[in-house]
Amino acid sequence: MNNPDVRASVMEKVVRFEAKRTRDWLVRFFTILLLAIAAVVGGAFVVGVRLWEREAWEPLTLFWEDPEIVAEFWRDTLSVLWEETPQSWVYLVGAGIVLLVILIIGTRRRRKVIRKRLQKLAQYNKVRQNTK
Amino acid sequence: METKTDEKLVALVKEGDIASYEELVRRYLKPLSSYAYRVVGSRALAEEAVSDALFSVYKTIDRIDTKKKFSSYVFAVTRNSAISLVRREKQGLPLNEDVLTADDTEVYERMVQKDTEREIRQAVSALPPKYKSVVQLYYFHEISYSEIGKRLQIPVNTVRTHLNRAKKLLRKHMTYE
Repeated sequence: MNNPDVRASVMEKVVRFEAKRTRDWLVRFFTILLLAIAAVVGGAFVVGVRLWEREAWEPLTLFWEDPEIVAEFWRDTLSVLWEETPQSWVYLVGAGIVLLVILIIGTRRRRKVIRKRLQKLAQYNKVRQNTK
Repeated sequence: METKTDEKLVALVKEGDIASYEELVRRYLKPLSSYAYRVVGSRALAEEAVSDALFSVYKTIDRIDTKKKFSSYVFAVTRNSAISLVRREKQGLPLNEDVLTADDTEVYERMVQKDTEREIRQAVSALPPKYKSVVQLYYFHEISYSEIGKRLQIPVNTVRTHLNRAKKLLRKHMTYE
């Protein structure tokens, strides 16, 4: 029985399978990552623009005033600002941040494995190219 | 260089080290090929069965429990793979499973049994001398309690106690391994 051939064929199948699995995982990961980043950046941009258009920043100048006034009116000021804010966009930003945190923390171990796997796949490809 | 156990290699593969799987393939290729050959009766089919089995083991490696013996798992998968191949080759003709199963199960069981036997012997040799001699006489030489008592010049109840304690130690030792 030609054992080296069987070993090479098994490893060939393993490398092909792993390359596809790793690629699929990376595509899924970066798609979700980009969506989350788009939600955060896009949402924050829209919120900023709306607040700018409505000049909702104006009441915030209060915070540069006398500390006594700040102590007395900070709640009212913030509630006015909240009223002026497009809230659905704020929720979108919040959801994006939560998704980012979950993605980064939840895939920590998996990313480590993927990184190692990519290194090994690169080594295998290098060896394969050298033997061709 | 230190030789890694199968279970350690499986753990490394789970962490993304594909090269460790190649080491496992190298380690098992020969015994699996002989085993598969006994089942299928053809070298080409045996190679195919082993190749299929090893690839299928890799695909499910994340689910393998590293506390259990990898060899038992890989032999079982090869056996199934070989049987499926024979079935496919016979193109739907009923497989004479009685003959096939009796033959290859025997080989497989013998392999697992050998493994276990080696482990037990290693564990026994690590026992304290007073327990070791009782276990060896009782289990390996199949001598009765009273005969052991006479030979070692200890009461029968002490033989019982030593055997009991030895079994507990062996159980502990083999669970940790």
